[in-house]
Amino acid sequence: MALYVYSKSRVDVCIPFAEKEEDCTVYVIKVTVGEVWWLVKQRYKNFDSLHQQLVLNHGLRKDLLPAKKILGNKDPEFIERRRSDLEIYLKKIVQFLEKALPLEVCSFFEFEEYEVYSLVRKMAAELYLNGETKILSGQTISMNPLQLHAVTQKIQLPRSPVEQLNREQDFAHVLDFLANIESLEIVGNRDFYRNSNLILNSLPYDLSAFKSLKHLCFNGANVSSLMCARSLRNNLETLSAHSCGLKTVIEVLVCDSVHKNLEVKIDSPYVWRELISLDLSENNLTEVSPAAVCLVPKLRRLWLNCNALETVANLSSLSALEALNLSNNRIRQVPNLHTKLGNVKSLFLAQNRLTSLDGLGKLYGLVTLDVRSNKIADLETIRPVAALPCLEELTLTGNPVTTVLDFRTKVLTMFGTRAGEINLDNEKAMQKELDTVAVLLALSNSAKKMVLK
Amino acid sequence: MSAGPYNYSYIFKYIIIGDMGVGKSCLLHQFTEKKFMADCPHTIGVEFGTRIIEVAGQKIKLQIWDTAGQERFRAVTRSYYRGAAGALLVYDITRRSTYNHLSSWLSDARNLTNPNTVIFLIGNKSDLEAQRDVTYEEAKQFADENELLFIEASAKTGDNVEDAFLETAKKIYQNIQDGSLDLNAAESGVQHKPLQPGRNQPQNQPNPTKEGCAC
Ligand SMILES: Nc1nc2c(ncn2[C@@H]2O[C@H](COP(=O)(O)OP(=O)(O)OP(=O)(O)O)[C@@H](O)[C@H]2O)c(=O)[nH]1
Ligand SMILES: [Mg+2]
Repeated sequence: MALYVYSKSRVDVCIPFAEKEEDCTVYVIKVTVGEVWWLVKQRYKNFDSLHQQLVLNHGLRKDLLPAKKILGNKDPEFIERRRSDLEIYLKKIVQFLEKALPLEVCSFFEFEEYEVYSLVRKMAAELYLNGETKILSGQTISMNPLQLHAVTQKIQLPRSPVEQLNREQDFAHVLDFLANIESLEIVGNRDFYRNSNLILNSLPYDLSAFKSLKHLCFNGANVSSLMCARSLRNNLETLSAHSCGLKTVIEVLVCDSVHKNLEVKIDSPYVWRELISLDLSENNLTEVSPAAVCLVPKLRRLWLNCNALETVANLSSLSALEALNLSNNRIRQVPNLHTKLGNVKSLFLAQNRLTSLDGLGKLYGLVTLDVRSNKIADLETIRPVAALPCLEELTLTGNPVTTVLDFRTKVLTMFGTRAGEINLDNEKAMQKELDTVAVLLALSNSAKKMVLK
Repeated sequence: MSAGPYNYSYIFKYIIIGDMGVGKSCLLHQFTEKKFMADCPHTIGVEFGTRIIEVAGQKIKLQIWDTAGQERFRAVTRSYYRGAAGALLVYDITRRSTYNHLSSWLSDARNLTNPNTVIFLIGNKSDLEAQRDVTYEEAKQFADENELLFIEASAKTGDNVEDAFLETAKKIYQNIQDGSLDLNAAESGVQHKPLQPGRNQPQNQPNPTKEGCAC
């Protein structure tokens, strides 16, 4: 992003064109600071009020600004002449004042949107007013990569004279605020930022100022913009990354290393020691590598829904895993799932391509199973899960099997004496259903006895 | 409000200065987190920490700027002197060179802070007695000659770390009490807690927004 350092930086301005906006002429100003440029639209009257302030506060000559004109000011020739005069005007004031651009000029050029010092000053002033309220409310704080990048830069830069004079704009307000945030969402963007040549997702930052962070969520951001995750690895409890285009889990866990091909090592410096919940839904994940799993030894909750996974593998070393969400993937089969994951209590496999629940018969700790909207057609393939001793919730809606005659009572009957405890498709069995189940059970029992005799 | 990071009535600003590797960041960490950070990376620019302490029954929030000792950040460090109420000047008792550089740090501090800034000299790493390179007496004499408060401390064991930060605050508080430090002056490094909207009316605070450049 742009960096304007007192007495060092070069600022360039020009007015490439003027345009109509709501029946007014606006002059489009291109501001260039170093490598960064952006466009600002201003009407003549804004030039005029800027100039009045500059005359008042900085001793500029009154006649520097091209004069007002009331009549005929919509004539294209006139606008073109004025554009060129205003451009000369801006070039002059920038030339006069470049070493120490006054605040009025900075805000006329919208520095607070694109330039490190100005943006941080604006943040400080806002947080001076509402930082405490925001922290005390405990809400998740949303920030964009530009703000994070600005703070990261600012830490390495001298303080400016302005912030030394203005208590409200003290950088301390920003750092104090960041140090108290527990939950942060980073909202990225892949396009050009506003009317500039900046792309938010290409701006690097670190989060070392976030000393209390427990929950971090990347939203549409570039996870490798995070330059150092060292301190986060010891403190973070929840990590999420949505719509970040992730292809592998490791991408986010070692976001701050160029080498993504890690050995499988428990004592790796990349281990997330306190991480309990990892949510990577809405990406393009095709696999979970063994190396990734080793980096999150305490994980209890893993959300991988809305990805492109075709199999379930490598999760067995997550010994603390309790809840796994694999909904909305491309999973066709889950053979012997108990050999691939630990003792999970909740498993979500909705909206996949499963035709059978055969492989789930030994997940003895399972309490909740959601397999809605799969391709399960055969009632008998459900039987293995009916034997699971702890199962309390089973969701099968949206499968072809639910259209089978007397589907509910048939499934409930599979649970035998536990039928009354089961929440099937979000509904406990009704008394009428339980009566039918009892009759069916009695019948089958007597049938068995007959066979025995 | 009774607890949490916002229960205080004054803010005191500190800076920590001294050669690289003397343990500035470890002292800050020990003071704010009560832990020793063995593998502390060099500070890039500045670091920031706060802790609320109590002096004479008053809750005071210390805003501490920990600066980088590396030469390449000297301009950054210098820009943080202004407006500090307390300056902790740190050397490493096991490295004589860090002690020899004190006079240069001190002249920076004297030139760039206000005359009331309390300067506290800390001889850090007192746990490494066997490697001692600067005697207590020698440093004490330097401190006396320059009218500095002085203590030897260890960021590792935590020895005397609290004392250094608290003694500085007590001295600043005294200066406020006896009127030599003005709470409302922009650069005193002390202020009342900023009032938040929806609470009491903000008092008249100087808002010198008119002047200054934009950098
Ligand atoms: N034995 C011992 N080691 C210490 C002590 N304080 C700091 N250290 C070690 O000294 C090294 C430097 O400490 P830092 O706190 O990073 O030093 P610094 O002054 O902040 O350095 P810069 O940020 O580069 O200016 C670290 O390896 C610490 O582990 C101490 O009291 N005793
Ligand atoms: Mg340091």
